[in-house]
Amino acid sequence: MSPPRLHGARYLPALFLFLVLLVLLQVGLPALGVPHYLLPTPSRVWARLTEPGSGLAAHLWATAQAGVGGLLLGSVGGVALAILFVAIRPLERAFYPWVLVSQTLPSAALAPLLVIWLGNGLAPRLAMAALFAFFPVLVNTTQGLRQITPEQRDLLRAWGASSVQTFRLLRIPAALPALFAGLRIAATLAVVGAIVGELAGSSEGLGYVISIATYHLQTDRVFAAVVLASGLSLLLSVLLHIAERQIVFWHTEG
Amino acid sequence: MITIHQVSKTFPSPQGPVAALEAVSLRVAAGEFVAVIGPSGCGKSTLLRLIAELEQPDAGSLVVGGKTPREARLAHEYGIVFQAPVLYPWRTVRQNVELPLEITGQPRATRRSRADDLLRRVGLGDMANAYPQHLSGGMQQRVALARALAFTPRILLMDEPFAALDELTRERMQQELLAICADPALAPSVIFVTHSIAEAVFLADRVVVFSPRPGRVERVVEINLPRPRTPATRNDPRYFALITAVRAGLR
Repeated sequence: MSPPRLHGARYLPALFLFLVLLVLLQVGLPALGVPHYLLPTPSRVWARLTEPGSGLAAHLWATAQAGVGGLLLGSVGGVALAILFVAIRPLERAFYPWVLVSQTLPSAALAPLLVIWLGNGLAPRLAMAALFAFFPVLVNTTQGLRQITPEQRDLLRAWGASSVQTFRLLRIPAALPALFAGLRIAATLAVVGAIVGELAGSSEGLGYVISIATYHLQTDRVFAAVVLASGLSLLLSVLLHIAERQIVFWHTEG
Repeated sequence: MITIHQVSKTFPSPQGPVAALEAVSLRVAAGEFVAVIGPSGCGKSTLLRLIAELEQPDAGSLVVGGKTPREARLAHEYGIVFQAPVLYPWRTVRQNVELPLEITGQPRATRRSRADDLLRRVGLGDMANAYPQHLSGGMQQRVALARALAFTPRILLMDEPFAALDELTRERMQQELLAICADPALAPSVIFVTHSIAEAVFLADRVVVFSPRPGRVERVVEINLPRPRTPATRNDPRYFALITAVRAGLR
């Protein structure tokens, strides 16, 4: 019944596999004569990561700002719209199909437009990250707000609860597990969104590093940026996981 | 306390309208315990939901505590218990019992002392700070019962409340329910829907037998067993005779 722990022995096999892979790449790539501008060895990438004056830390910080800021914006928007949808049925009937249709747009293709509209500062990257984070939070929260049993609703009605009370006392707490499931997806997508925004036109961030380093064929620097981006996603996931444990303490599955 | 007059209710379904209740009339006196029994789908639960104003009748009228069902609901004339405890897992046992009082905006201290009183009443005084998912099924249903009593209602509506419990727990809960009904400070009228003939006879002053769908009052059996009812009641020949009478009514 006790929830699985975040750290511990069950992660050892995965960690072991990772180390084996690193060693294979480190030894195998030179042995096969793969040039480092195609696929650099882990040690080259590590050297890039730890090189003083690489500026990678500042770029990571820029991506983190856009990613986390976009995650916040997108989530607040997603939760707010989900509450409106569930509270006002006609609003959902009018908007939800269009929200679904909007997902068929290749969101990444909007990035250059956002740069045109919002300039090449933080704003378009923030907007891109928010756009990516918004949808999973909206869909999950809308479902979560509906995940109440008829009897739970009947009881509140029997006690004469207002619809605001029904949201505050029942629907919102009941939606928290689904909200967190959405946030976990959204966190990863927000980092992707920030990087797409940076690729489209920016003077900072990991996406910018990737685009410039690719131009100069500095593959090891590209990989260094990729490693940092995935580290950022991982960190956000872990933080969300910890928050979920604290907030949704009654929900043990998953 | 409750007057039901010629009430009918039909539900739509993909196969066309289904009549759940047809011209049901029933009176429940103050402090009376009425058990409603009948085959599955005979509209017993619908009857409770009409009294609770969770559904509206298609025809007929209901008077609940001298009020319309809506007024009675808003005046907290009844407490309701379902087969499932329907507790909120993010709230402690005490907070679950406090919830109806919180909705009506009662001050925290009042809520808390009322909840603690009720929890002691159902034998869970030391469980107030536990979360419901850590309680057994029987304990969870006690919490639901305590919560239903939060407003000291004059009417208790119970929809197969002990059906999911094991036999021993069930008998203990029946005994505790009777103690609550005998308590002059509470003494609610009870409408108790059940599938169990023995349970209906053991608890009730009258057993109302419903016909198969559409539900109609088929027969009313007066249960003239003496009170208080105790484990010895279950060995009383009159108890067995009444069980036989109710069973005959169900045929």
